[in-house]
Amino acid sequence: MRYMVCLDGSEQAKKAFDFATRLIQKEDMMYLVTILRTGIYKDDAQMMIMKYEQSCMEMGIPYEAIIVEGNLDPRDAIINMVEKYMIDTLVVGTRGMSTIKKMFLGSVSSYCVTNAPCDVLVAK
Amino acid sequence: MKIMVCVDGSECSELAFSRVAVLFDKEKDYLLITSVVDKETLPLAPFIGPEEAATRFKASEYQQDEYYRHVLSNYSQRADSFAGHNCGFSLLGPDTGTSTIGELICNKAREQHVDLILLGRRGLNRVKRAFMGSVSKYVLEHAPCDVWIAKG
Repeated sequence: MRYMVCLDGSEQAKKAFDFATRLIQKEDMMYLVTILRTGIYKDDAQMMIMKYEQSCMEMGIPYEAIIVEGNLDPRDAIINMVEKYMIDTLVVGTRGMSTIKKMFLGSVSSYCVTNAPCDVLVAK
Repeated sequence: MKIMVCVDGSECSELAFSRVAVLFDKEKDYLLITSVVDKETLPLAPFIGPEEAATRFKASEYQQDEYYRHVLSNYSQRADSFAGHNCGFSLLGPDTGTSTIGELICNKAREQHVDLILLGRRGLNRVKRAFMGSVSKYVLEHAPCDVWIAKG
């Protein structure tokens, strides 16, 4: 099974990653994806993703890190990546860096759940 | 990990169940197969008088129960091959109070300390316009744990 975890440096994303690692089995593949936007430097994104790459290495999980450039809307970018890499399960947190706690599911996660052409795992 | 899969006999729950078969780790996991008797799909009869209505109501309630039991027993048998003894099943509702299907599922998950709820995007409801069924939507928002929505 091919998993894709959406990372943005938030605690929510970390929870999503941690939960995915509990489910992952021998023949599975983990794609770590982050979407670059204005205000986020590529170096910072690379450093952030490196921590996750290290975790995958330590746990023996085959992985690939993807940094999407071009200041795209993260919703579209994520769905594009899902299609490009033929992902079976998309893993998202409930929210990202936004602090609006009123909404249960952030705009990106919500969009992914309704529009992803694959299974979606929402980690709380 | 304690995994709860919610089934109602629909195509979507079939997809959800086949996902569990792949994910399940016989050494470490426990599977709880859950189904909820849905009173809302009771057929509406034209006016036929209170006694006749009561009889028909009871009969269809019985049929409803039977249907969901049958669904559960079918899945339980199939779970045997990959879960063995690490499997239980639970038939919820119909609730005499005002709990919705989603509420019954979430309450059960809470009570059983479930780690992951797995369900389909829609259920038996034929309204395909809606991207996501009302039960899945409710469970996503109110589950006490992570939720896996199987595509369909």
